[in-house]
Amino acid sequence: MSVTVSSRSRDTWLGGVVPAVKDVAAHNELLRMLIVKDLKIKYKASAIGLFWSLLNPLLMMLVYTAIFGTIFGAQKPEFPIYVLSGLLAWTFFGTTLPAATTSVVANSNLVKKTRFPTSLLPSSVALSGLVNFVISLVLLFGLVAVYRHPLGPSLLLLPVLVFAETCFVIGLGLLLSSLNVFFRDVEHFLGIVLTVWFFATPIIYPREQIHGNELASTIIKVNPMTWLVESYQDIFYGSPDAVHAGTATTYLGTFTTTWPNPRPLLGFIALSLALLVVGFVTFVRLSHRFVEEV
Amino acid sequence: MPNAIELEGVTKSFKVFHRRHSTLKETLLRRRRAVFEQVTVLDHVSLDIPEGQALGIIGRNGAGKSTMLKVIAGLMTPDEGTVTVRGRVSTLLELGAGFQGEYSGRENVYLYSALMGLSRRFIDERFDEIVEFSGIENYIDNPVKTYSSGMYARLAFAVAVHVDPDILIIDEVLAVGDRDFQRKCFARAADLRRRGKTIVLVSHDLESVRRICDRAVWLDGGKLLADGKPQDVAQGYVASVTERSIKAGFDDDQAHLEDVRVLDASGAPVASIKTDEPAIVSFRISTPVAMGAAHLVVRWVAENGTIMASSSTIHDGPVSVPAGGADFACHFDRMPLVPDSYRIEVVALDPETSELLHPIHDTVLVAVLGKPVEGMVSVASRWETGGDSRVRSAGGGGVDASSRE
Repeated sequence: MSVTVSSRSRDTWLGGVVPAVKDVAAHNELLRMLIVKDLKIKYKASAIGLFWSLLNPLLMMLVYTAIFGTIFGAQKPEFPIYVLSGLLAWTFFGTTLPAATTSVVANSNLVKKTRFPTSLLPSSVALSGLVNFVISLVLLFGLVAVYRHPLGPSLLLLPVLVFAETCFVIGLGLLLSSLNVFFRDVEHFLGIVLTVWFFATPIIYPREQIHGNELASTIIKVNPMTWLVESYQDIFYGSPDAVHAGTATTYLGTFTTTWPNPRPLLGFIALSLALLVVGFVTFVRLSHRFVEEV
Repeated sequence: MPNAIELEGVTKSFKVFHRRHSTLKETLLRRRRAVFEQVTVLDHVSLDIPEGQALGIIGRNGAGKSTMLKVIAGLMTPDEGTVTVRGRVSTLLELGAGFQGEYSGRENVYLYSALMGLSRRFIDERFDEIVEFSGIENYIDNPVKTYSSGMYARLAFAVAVHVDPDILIIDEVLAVGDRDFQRKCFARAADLRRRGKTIVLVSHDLESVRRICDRAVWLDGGKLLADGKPQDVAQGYVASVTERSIKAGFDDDQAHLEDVRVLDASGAPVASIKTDEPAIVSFRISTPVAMGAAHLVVRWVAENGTIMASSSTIHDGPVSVPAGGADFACHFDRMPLVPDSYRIEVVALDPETSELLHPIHDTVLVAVLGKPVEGMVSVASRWETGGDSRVRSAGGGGVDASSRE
């Protein structure tokens, strides 16, 4: 094992990336420990920690259903399934990203005193978020069972969606956590952005509802989270069967399972993989100065 | 013998900011220009350390020793030059590098080895040996934040030497721990060397450098001033340090600290003061020759060794003493210490290196009297409650429980 660190390796864009990847691979035990630590903090603190983590999305789903279900329920029968399929996907992203963003700064004593692939800090936060997300899917499947809601073969795409979203969160997490070392406003700014971003994603309202407003529907259309969330909605919620007679629409109380729209989904997968690469390269390049700046 | 570590023209400098951009807005707008000074900490250092060598790095504070270790450990990237390291590096930078206070000793052992990229099985096999070496079996499942600094250092050292490193990098850790543990550390270091491992040690304690190392370098101002046998390099270093202290005149044979006393506000010597009362610490430095610069520090030290209060000349500039000597008095406007007994320490420091110029001969004990309070300092306070209820100031000053809202 031999490591050469040269000031020159910083001069090329990709310098140091290959050794950094090897370094990450050699520290799989550390990654495991960091994920376990993160999960322990979440679940160990209270006796029924798992229950609490399921309670939160369940409660939000009920609140949104109570408020928006009455407004949009006519278009989206079985509204709770509609809300929850988007909400869980959003929660994974929206709660994990801020934690990943602060992860390098929050672990300054590790970063300063020991040499290890620091990219594992945001990555482990993202992966423990993934574990939580997978657990929370139990809620959604439970709800589907309660409603006797049909699921189709498109469910086979679920692992693909989860994988793409994980890459998206890790990529953005790497990017933002390294920038946050130098500009601490990143974490504050992110909080605001996420609030707006949530409402710019069709989770608690149906997208068709926004058609009157040109600007809003454009924003929703170019929002990558829309691409992702709608894919989740397609495989879990599908489309309600309806009869159109004149201006009136009558739902038949049944659903047709649908496949996600391929273009937005492929777009999201491509974006996630690109972000993962850009995030990692940026992180590795900036990490040279972490010890001095953190 | 191949080299374990090669430094080639390594230069590292830091920007010392007097005013800096800390937010995105400031950086983007550049309204206020960042003001900084470029400080070169390592200045084209080249050094080959062959496998199996134990190298000691000595030098004053701020000479660049720690930066050099961080560059070797891969924590910092040099601005210029290259660093080549062959083999697995185990680092002990500062006390218990990377230990997490909330984690138990056991968890920290595993975390440390994971940080080094070792597998769980690897450390499982060595765990008992590590705990035995550290001698803290009974505390291994307690959070390390409850450890004393000695226990902390023991565990940190135990892990670092048991992860089977090819290169062990140690920064000033042997100073902590009792004699017995130090002896164990020396034995372990000797053992590592017998097995052909490389050791790099930074220490102010020249004795441990002499005992462990077979080569020493003297770093000053980011450059290597000397390189050779530890005895020779240490001798050169000591000579330069003593030369400076003789210049300052604060040699032990010549200068003496005398008559350390605590006086009350009227100037009368006392053995006790009351909480919140003023106090004066007076002492005399007598010297046959005039002395150059030194910093004087007066400390109030609690029984457990914590410095509760201090006053020094560091902010006002160093003092000099004329031939014959001089009297000094340090006025403390009020001492808000809780009732207990405290030791007064007077020390003289080299203004450049902050090294002790004078052994502490003379300490006095002083008692602080008053109403007993919990905590470390006595703070003026009063109580209030809302509504119609009154705090009864008589009868112990308690709040009437029935009227609490």
